[in-house]
Amino acid sequence: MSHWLWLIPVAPLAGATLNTVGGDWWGSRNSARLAVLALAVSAAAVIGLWLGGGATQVLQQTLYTWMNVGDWQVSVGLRVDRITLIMLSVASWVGFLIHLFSYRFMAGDYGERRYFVYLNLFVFGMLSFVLADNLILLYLGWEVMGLCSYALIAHWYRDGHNAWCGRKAFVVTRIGDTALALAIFLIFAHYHTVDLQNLFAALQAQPADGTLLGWIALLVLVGAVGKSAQLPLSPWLPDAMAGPSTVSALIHAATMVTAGVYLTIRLHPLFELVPAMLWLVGLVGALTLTFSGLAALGQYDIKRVIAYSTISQIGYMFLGVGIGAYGLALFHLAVHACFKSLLFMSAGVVIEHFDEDHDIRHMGGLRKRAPYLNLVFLAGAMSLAAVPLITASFYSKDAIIEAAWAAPQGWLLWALAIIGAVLTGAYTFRLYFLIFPGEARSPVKDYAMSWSMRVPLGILAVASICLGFVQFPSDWPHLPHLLLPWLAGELGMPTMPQGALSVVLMLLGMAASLTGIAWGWRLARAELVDRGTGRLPALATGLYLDKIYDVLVVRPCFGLARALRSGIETAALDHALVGSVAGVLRLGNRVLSLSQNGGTARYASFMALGAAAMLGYLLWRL
Amino acid sequence: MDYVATLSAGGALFLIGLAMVLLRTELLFVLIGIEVMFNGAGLTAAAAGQYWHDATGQVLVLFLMTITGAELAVTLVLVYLAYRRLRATSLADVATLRDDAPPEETAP
Repeated sequence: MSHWLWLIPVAPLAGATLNTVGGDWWGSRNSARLAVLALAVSAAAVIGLWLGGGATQVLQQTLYTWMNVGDWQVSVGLRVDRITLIMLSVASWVGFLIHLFSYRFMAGDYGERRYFVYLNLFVFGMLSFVLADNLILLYLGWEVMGLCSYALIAHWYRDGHNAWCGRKAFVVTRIGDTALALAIFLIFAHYHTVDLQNLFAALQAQPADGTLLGWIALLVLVGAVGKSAQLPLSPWLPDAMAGPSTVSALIHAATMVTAGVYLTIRLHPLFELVPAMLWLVGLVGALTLTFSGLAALGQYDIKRVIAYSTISQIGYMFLGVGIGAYGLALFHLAVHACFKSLLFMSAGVVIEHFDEDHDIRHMGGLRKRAPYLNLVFLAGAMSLAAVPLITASFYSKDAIIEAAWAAPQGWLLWALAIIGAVLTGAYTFRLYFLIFPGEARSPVKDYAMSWSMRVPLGILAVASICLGFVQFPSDWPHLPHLLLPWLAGELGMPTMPQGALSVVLMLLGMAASLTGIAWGWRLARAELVDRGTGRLPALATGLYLDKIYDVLVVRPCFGLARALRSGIETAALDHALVGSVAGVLRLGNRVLSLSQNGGTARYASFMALGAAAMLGYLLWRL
Repeated sequence: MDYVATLSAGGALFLIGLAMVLLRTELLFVLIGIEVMFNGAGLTAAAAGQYWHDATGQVLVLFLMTITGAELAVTLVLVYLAYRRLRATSLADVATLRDDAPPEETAP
């Protein structure tokens, strides 16, 4: 199987390339078919990987040498271990289901072919990021994802606001990308390698001084924070909802925004050498999940609610990484990818039902009109709110909350996480109760879902309920515990509280979810009489984060740019430099222009003089 | 044989031709001047070939005569066209390449 690893990232790349070159010729519907087919090949190859030994051994394939400078070389090398395998399965299968859903959902869109090209290219970026065995290839995938994210957010570019949202996402994530690049430079400068396995071996053999490692870890963290929209680089994600709902499902819920989590899990040997930085990862996650839970309560736009919930759920994953529960973070990543892509795609259909209206106050009554949609959305919402015992998220998220207690200063992280759990239940069910039950508050359009839309939603709904049953809490006997022990060889087992404390914490977690859901029901009713949380400006603006950045960063930058334009560019460059060069040239032109008077006799005499001068020079030299 | 006389005759022919080209204004006289210059050059080449006892000089003269014929045919057509198109018989009338207007000032 290791000879066929290249097929996994190359299939979507080939799809993107063929559609770019020939899409004009075979039409946008066939482009869509080709794109879905490319993802089907990748997804099937990942199944083959599970069956063909990827689950038991590490597979490696080096395709070719990319750069070769002296004794240092970078190869295009792919490596599959168990962390990679989980992430690969998520990216390829959720990616495939979203492609399948898009096939009908995006039919007839004005940028259909462009959409499928970028969607395929994005999956290529994600898969090569996941499979990379060195930091340079990893960074390539990371940047391809950033580019496609920009292009797909600004997909409906004819509305200027969408293009602005795309630029915002690009510029904000660029801060993180730069930090990650600096981290790679530092790693190379000190360890002279970019290969991940060599790096881990070097970290074990000769730990550098703590300051340097601290800086590297901090820069990696900033990179991850930028990509995963954590505090303080979170404001781009709610605006990224300007793209199609399927794009939000794939890029801004299931895969790209979790790349930061994957990066920190992948580099956990580095973080473990600087425990303070690891704890900072957890704190960033805990603060973010509370902050975005609050902000989600204040939104009226259905997609912005889900966007803030994504930020919050990724906060839980960062918390999991920060307390050393890498396996649980990866588990929650997979579960979150299922229910969040489900929620985004259902939200897309909900918006179609209400004629492109995103405002949840105008919705309602969809349960009777679209029972299937109600069912799958409810499955996703229950999983997001971590309804105890029956949903997947209960087994992944509540385990993280419980494990947070055992970390240093665990009470702080635990308290933030439990507040976040209440908020999650509240905003999720505020959303559900405003959209589905009751009477319709504006006319509902019919929207027939084809099988290619129903099947992916159904699969994801089943997954968001049942995926948790692979890993029950470890002290529950006679039930499957498949995931964490399987990952333990690479990630270790998380430290959980023991005995009665564990039971108390778990009961508190359950109570938090149920309280949140009850509160969400009350909030939905209050919202209808205009007494809900949406009218609080602090919550609606996301705790003024955008305004704060506007004052602190955006305005000073624009001011600096304006000062440079009027000061440096106009005065120094235009007048002094360009002016003097142009003056010299114009003077030369006038002088030469005098000689060109059109008189043939003068030209001839110049020729004669020139010939005489050359002859004279030759005679004089000889 | 006294080469000085031949070479002087060649040089004199060349200079006379040059003077005609530079000083006369009628197109046909300028052409005649060019022909005279060719003859001066040919005479000089033949004399130099004799001086070095080498046939190359005479071969050069033969080539020169052929090229002169071709050149004359082309230039006569040019003169004819200049008359037909521009009604011009003198060099002053065909000064169409004059760069008279200096370029306008444009802001950088």
